[in-house]
Amino acid sequence: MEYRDQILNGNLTLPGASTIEAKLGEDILAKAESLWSALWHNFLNHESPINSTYWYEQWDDPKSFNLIIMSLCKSGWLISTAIPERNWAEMQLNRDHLLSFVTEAELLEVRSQYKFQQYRPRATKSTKSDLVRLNGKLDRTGLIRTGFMKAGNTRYSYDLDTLVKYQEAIQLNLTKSMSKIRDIHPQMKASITDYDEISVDILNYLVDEQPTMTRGNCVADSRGRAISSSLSKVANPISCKDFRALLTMEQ
Amino acid sequence: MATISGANAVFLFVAELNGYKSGPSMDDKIQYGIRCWLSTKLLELDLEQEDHRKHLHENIWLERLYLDLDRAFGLDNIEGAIRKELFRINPCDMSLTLDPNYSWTVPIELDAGASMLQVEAMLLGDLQLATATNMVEGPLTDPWSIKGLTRNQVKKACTPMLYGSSQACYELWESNGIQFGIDEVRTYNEALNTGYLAVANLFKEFIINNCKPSPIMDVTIWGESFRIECNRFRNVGERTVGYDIYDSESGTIKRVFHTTTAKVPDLDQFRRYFVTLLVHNIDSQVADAIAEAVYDEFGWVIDIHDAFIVNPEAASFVRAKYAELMEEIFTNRKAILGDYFRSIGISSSAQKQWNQLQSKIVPMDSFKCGPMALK
Repeated sequence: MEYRDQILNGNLTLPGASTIEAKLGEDILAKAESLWSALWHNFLNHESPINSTYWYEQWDDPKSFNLIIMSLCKSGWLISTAIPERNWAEMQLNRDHLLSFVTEAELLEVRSQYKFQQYRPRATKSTKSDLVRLNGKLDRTGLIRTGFMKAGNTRYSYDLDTLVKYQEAIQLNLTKSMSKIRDIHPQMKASITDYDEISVDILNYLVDEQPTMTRGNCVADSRGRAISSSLSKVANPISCKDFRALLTMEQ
Repeated sequence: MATISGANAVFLFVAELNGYKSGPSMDDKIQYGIRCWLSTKLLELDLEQEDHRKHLHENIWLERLYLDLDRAFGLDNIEGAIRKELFRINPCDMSLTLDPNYSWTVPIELDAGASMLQVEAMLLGDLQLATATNMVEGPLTDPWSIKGLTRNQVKKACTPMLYGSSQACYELWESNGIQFGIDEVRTYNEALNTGYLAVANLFKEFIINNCKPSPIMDVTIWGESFRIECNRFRNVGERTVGYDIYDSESGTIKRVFHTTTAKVPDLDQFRRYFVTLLVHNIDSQVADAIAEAVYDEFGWVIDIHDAFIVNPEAASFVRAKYAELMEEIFTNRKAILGDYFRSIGISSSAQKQWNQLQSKIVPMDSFKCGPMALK
C-alpha cells in the first residue's frame, strides 16, 4: 500500500522494513518496528516526541540503534534531536514529510479518527480472569477473578431519550476538566483532536448510533479489586455517573 | 417479569437517591421511596451551575426509575393530582396494580454501606461496627454520621485514616477544600477514640505496627494465596549514563548524559499497604463471588468495587448472597486473621496490642446479617 493510503488508514508501517531485515536481521527489524510503532502512536496521540535514551536502553545495541535512526532521518521520516547542554535527546516523526503525502486537513482527520476509535466505548468479549497490574506491569500473581470476567460480558446501552434531554449538561460534565484547563490557559489552541472535542464526538456517536456495549476485560489490582478496561473509554458507566444513570439492560 | 420484591428494591434505591440515610426500618425506607415516586420527587438542581451538575446523575436515574415504576404499575398516563390521591388512599398495597408481565428496563445500584467497616466488623466480630453499618437488622443508621460534624467531613477523613493514611483529619479536610474549626477537629479526634471508629482505628494501628514487610511476599487472605510486591520506594543515589545518539540537525552522533535516581523498596512506608490489602482483597472476593452468581442466574450485572448494578429482580438475591458471604467471614474470622497475620509476619509478640484492641470490641456470639448491609 502506498504511504498516502497507509497514513489515511491510520496505519503507517516502518519504511524500508525489508531492507532492514535483509541487512540487519529479524531481531533488529522487530526492535525497529516497535520503535516505529511508538513514534507513530505518539504522533497520532499528541504529535509528541519519544525519549531517545529510553529507547536506547531498550535496544541494547547502540550501533544498530543509531544506524536505524540515521537512516530514517536521512530519508526524511524522522527528526532526532540530541542536546548535550541540556542532557536531553528525543525523536519524533517529521510532520513536514508526512504532509508531502497528505494534506494538513487529512492528517488532522486521521489523528481525530485514531483518538475517536481509541476512546469510543464498544462491546468487547471479556475472557481474562488472572491478570494483575503489579507496580505498573501486567503479571500473574495467583489472584483469579472469574466473576469479574463474566460480568465484563454484561451488555448495556444508554437511554437515548434521557441522553438527548440532558445532552448539554452531560456534555459539560464530560468536558469539565478540559474546560478548566482552557480557562487557566486561554491561549491554548483548540483542535479537533483534543480530548474534549473527541468526547463530544463520542457523545454524538452514542446518540446517533445507540450502540450496545460491554465493560470488557478487567485486570485485578495488586489486592484483587477490578480495574476495568472500559475505564479508558469516554462515557463509561464506571467513572461517569451520568452514564451509569443512563444504563439500560440489554440481553 | 416484575414482582413486588423487585419493586421494593426500586423503592429502596429511589429513597437512597433522595437522600434517605437513617430511619426506623427497611420498610420505612420503602415507604419513603413510594412517596418519592408518587410525588415524582427530584433534587432541585440548576444545571447552569457546576456544583449542581455533580448531582445530575441522581435526577436522571430518578426520572427513569419513576417512568419504569409508572409503566410497571400502569400509572404512566395518570396525572399528578390523581397519583397523590391514589397514594393517600392506599400507600402500602401496591401489589394490586403491578403488571407481573412487565420487564424492568432500568437497573438499580446496591451499594455496601461502608464495606471497609463491614469487613472489619466481621473479622473482629464487633457488634458496634456491625450495627453502625446496618448489618444487624433494626433501625437504619449512617455510619458516617457524627454529631457536630458534616457527613462529608467524617467520610473524607475517616476513609483514608482508617485505611492507613498518616495525615491528620485537618490535613485531609484542607486537601479536600472542606471548611472546619478547632471544635470540629476535637470532635473528630474524640470520635476516633470511642465506639466503633476506635475499634477500626486500633485494628489499623495493630496491622501497621506489627506487620513485617519484605520486598516480595506471598500472602494468604480468606483461602486465597498470592504474591505482592512493595509499591513504595525511596531514593538512594543517582546514576549517570552517557548515551551516544544520532542528531539529525548536525548529522553527527552526540553524547548525552542522563541521570537516573536509584530506588530501593521503602518497607517502612509499605506497612501502610497491609490494611487495604486485607480489606480490599476480601471485598473483591465478595464482589467477584456475587458478580459470578448474579451473572450465572440473571445474565446481567456490573460490579463496581463494593457496589452492584443489577436488575431490580436480582436485588434480593444479591442482598442474600452478600449476607451469606459476610456470615461466612464472621464464622471463619479466626482462621482468616490467623492465616493473614502469619503471612505478613505478625507474631505472638503483638499479643499485648491485640489485647488492647480486644478490650474495645463488643463481641457477638453469633451473627445473622440483615439485608440492609447493602443500601
